[in-house]
Amino acid sequence: MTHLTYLELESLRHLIGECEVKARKLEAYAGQAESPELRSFCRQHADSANRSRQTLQSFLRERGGVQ
Amino acid sequence: MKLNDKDIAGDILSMCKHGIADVTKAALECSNPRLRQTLRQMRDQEEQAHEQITQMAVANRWYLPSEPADHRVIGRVENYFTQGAVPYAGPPGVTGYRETGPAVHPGGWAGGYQEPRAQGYHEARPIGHQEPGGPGYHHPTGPGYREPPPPRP
Repeated sequence: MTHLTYLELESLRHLIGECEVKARKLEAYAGQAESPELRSFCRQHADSANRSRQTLQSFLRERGGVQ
Repeated sequence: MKLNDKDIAGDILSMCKHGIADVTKAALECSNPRLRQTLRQMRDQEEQAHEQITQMAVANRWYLPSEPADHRVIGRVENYFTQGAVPYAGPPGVTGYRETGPAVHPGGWAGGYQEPRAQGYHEARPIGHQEPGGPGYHHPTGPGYREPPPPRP
């Protein structure tokens, strides 16, 4: 089982929240932007932010820490 | 309110910059090797995204990049760090000024002005500063202003 410190847990909490907001904003921007290049960038990086969020959440699912 | 492409690009640039700083900090504070590796990969991806959106923003004039610095200003900064002093000629026609004033700040302030009568006295003066008595001169007597120390014997 992976060990997680309180500091790491706080970082995960902060970064997961950030990824979530970022993905939502980029999805919204992908629908609003006029430039096709910018729309494509937003879609691509919204997916990337969602993947990052899932990766970070997997560290929480492992429930590392003191039992 | 509908955001235009410039607003969107500006917000993405800001998000990327903050994201890179946050992930870098988290990676530095991390003791779990697998999490640290994940965070470093995220930082690399974020840096690539930042580079991509920066290029797009500059090309489309959604972002005004900083202009190249004047080579004379760069030289003055280099002198400051290599010699510990920056040549300063003083006001035209006035002799006796010590050549120790720092470079003129791009914001328009020249600090470290040395009065020949009071050694060690420093007062910041804006570019285009006029001597007392000249048109438009206002003596700095606002809040926080302190009289300069008396000349040393």
